[in-house]
Amino acid sequence: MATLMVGVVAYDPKVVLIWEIIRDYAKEKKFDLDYVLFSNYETQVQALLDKKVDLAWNTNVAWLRTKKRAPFAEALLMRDTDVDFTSMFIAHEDANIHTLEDLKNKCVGFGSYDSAQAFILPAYYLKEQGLEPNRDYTMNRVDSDLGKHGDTGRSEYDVLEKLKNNEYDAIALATSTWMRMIEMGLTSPSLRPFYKSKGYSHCNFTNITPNASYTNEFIEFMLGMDKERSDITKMMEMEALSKWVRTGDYELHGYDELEKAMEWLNLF
Amino acid sequence: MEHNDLYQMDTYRLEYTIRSSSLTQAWLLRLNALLPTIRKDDIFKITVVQRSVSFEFEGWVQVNRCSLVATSSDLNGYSYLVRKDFESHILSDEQGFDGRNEPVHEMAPKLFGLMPRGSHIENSSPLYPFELNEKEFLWAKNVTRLYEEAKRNQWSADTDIEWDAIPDLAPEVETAIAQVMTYLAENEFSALYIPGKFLSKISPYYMELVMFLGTIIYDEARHIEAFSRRANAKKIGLQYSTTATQRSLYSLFIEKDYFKTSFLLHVLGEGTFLDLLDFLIKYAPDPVTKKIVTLAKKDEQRHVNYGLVHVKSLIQANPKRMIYLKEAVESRKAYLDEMSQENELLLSALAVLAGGVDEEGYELGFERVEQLKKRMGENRIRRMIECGFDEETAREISMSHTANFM
Repeated sequence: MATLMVGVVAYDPKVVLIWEIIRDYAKEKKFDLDYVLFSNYETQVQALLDKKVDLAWNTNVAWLRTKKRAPFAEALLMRDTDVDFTSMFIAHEDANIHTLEDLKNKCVGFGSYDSAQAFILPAYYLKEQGLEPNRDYTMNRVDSDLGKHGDTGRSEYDVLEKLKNNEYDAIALATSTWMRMIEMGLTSPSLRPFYKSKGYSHCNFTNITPNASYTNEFIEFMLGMDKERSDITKMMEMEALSKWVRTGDYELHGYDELEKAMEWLNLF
Repeated sequence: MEHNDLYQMDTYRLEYTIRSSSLTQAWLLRLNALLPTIRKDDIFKITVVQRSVSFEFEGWVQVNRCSLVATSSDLNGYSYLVRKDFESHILSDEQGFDGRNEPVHEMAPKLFGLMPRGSHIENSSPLYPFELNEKEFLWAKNVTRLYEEAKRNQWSADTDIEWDAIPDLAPEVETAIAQVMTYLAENEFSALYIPGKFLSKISPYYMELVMFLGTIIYDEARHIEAFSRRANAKKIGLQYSTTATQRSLYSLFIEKDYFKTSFLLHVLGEGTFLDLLDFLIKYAPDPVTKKIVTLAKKDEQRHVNYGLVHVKSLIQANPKRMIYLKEAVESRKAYLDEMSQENELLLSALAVLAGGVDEEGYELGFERVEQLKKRMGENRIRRMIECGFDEETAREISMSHTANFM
């Protein structure tokens, strides 16, 4: 078999470290694997569709866009932390905002328009409550690091600043980003989450070639990683997972709501 | 979240109630710090009073790769049973250092950083490149005892030496002392640097040895201080370093093998030094010099005792190692033979101390130095036999040992 090429978006310098570890480990296990870095998910998806890479490590948005254009696309594998990913809405405690309905006529801040967690899904949750943007509430977005689909978290930090400066009444972000913000001491004691979403699915390894011989080999290789080894645990720590999991029905349904949301926002 | 009947919300060993109205940085630290202390599949109970915190706590569970196995809510708040889903640490099966236990494993664990033996190591810790990680090549049964002994026998060049009590000696005699002290200090630098060079390569798993080498390094620092101060005490000052001594020390300094070095330095070098220090205890013309040398000798004896037991156990395990050590001595000799090896300034100074400065006395002193060299040779052979060498090999090695003594 030719070298299996995996496309990866370089949203942070650590991506190289992560994939060097995976590549070295593959070499050791005589699994012929290499990676290609992309600066954004749009180019990566196109490269996958053009079969310039065999697999792509995609965000949920990139996965759905791929699937739209290549109906046979399959999601192979995810991090355990990609399952039941959640978003939150945050407001000042004295703003009298306790539910999504309370956002009527308010000014709501979102992250980048290509971030499922910081914009697409949260805006959809409001729509589901009957709140249309710029009719029932003012929609504000901070579009930073476009193309990275929210991986950098930059837009979420930006909207947090604006919430703290009272430019917005409420903001939406990923729960995991909120945890990092607390850890870094960036939150303020007056801020309260008032809504946490249901779980949805985040990243996956996407394949578009039906019956490809390498998919099972790749899955077995990834699932078989020796977690007693410090290079592997280091990689998993950097990539924020404790194990790789197969994408099953439950996980696939975790993309359903996002698909509807992207249809609604014309993001395909 | 579904309620799971398997788990009852009764008392758990680890149980916290978060009363604050937001998940503060402090609470996050407390929760994060809880995780490493529990095992995979352990369950702990968290109760939160505020709804906003329940969102945050559920998020924390997801982000930290735990799962909720049961939830319930009532007037008092929201209760969660949380299971840790991953193993973060490799638990040590050994007791830490207490002066009695010795390391169990013949090979230091690969994943073992700068930490005492017995610590639980996080499995994402970096891999240190400790090259010296085999017990057989490092360990000596007496090392813990020697460490304890070293602690008890520390002395100070400030308070244990009466510097003011040095008498005024004849200038030639004082100069001879200064020359001997210069030589001793040079050699002690070698005995400080060489264990230091290996120390950073030894896995901390063998911590008793690491700590003992630490005492050797401090012993030698103290000796360097005391010998230098003695040379400078009467304004004569430090004297001449010679190429012969430096070449000898250099040939030891560049040796890369710990076992060979242990033999060359502790058994042959410092062993020979014990005889030299005995000689100085006998012939030093003043009580202060005698005291310095006596105290230094006690320390050197410990270093020799480590070398003897270390080399002995390795030879016992495989007698062919004698050949390996013999080769080490011979290749060092081949290097040293390129030039004259004896430090004549030292030998002459020793002759002055042991006999005197006039013709007759110096002749006598010379004779006594010759006898010292002979005694050094005999004792080297005796020490090697103690290590398990046969007499013939020991004799050959002794003949090839550096004329610089160390």
